[in-house]
Amino acid sequence: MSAALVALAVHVAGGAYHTPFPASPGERATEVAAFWLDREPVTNREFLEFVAQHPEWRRDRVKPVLADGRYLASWAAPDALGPRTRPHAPVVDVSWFAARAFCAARGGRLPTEAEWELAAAGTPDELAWYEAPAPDVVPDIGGAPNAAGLRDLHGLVWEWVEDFGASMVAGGGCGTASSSAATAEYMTYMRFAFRSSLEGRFTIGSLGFRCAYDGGAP
Amino acid sequence: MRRASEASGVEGEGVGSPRRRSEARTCGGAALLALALAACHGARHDAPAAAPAAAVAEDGPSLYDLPIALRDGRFDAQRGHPVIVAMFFATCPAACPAMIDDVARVLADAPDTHVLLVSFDAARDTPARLAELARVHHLDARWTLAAADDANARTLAAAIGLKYRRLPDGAFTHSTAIVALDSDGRVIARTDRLGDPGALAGALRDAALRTNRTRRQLDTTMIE
Repeated sequence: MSAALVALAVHVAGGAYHTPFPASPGERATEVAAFWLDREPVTNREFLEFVAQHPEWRRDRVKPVLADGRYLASWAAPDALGPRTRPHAPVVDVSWFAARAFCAARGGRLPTEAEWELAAAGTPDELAWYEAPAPDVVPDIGGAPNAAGLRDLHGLVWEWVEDFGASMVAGGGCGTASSSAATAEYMTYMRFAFRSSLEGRFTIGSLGFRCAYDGGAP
Repeated sequence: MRRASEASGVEGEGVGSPRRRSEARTCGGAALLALALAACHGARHDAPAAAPAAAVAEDGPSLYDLPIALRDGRFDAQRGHPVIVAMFFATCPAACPAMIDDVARVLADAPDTHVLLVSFDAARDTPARLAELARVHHLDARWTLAAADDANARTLAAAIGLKYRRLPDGAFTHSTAIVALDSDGRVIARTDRLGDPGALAGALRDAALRTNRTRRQLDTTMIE
């Protein structure tokens, strides 16, 4: 881990992630190796810098197979944010392909679903956010950190993961993924369900991302 | 708009489309819930998307624009031919042989069509193992069996709408997605079911007719 990345990311201890929704009885626990995760979602300002350095990801140049027609739609121009896009707010309207390219350029990757959920475990989550209409302008990052030092895991945007939707594919049909959804796990279930509805090109006005990095403790 | 783009799940409009939502390959409860969620956190840009996305579908995105590196050759090596693309793993007990049967049935009536089967189990599906699989299934030279590492397999899976997961015992579970590409790599048909290769066959037949028509027009132009 370079010093620059240490400033961006926090170390997340590995361990077993116990999914509330095992697709089959043998899949209750997923072993997660120690990794690093961005403290905050990637912001518009950061993505603007990325687009400037990698112009193939400008919205007027991106290959259509890599992002749908709404990619970076809230920006005022392909190279400018504008009034609906706050510099320190999470970037949204980005496809999975674009999010991956950003993380690769930063020396990382997208977190897996198990990594993301393990990192977020125990972080206060409000049902009210899931029920609320998406605001016209996504607010800035800067929520209270959780015990690990991660901010804004909940309450601002949904976040892409590398293996979005894979955990909901049950062998031989629909399996048991939804049958054990207790009330306390409801919000986790909504995230799993939301991710499983995505496709790689999709861009949504409340879907952003943060990057992960391989590696043990500093 | 050509019929092919309507049949495609990769091209076309974005997340807000009810048709696309209903095609999400999830258990019913999950798909319905995601639909409900999209109505709150997620709805903001759905409406204006239709116009630009539809314009994209007119000439369709080419999968050959994807940054994909296969272990066993170039992803776009079949460019110039219609190609059926699917993903699998060689030790798959039932679904993958059924998929190969489906593709073989389509191929029987589409002589110009090639096939690219990409394994997401690169560790176990060595070149030797893939060659053995081709021999056992009597696959001719139109078939290319290849493998990709996880990052590249995820890229292709995301592009064709296939979801897969490695199971604790090393096997995989995965949804079904078989797509037909035209000679430039654009998706012209897809199916999410086994035992239903009709949509692929029809689209490839139409594509062959269009190609022949274009050739005749070119021939006529040259004569003139």
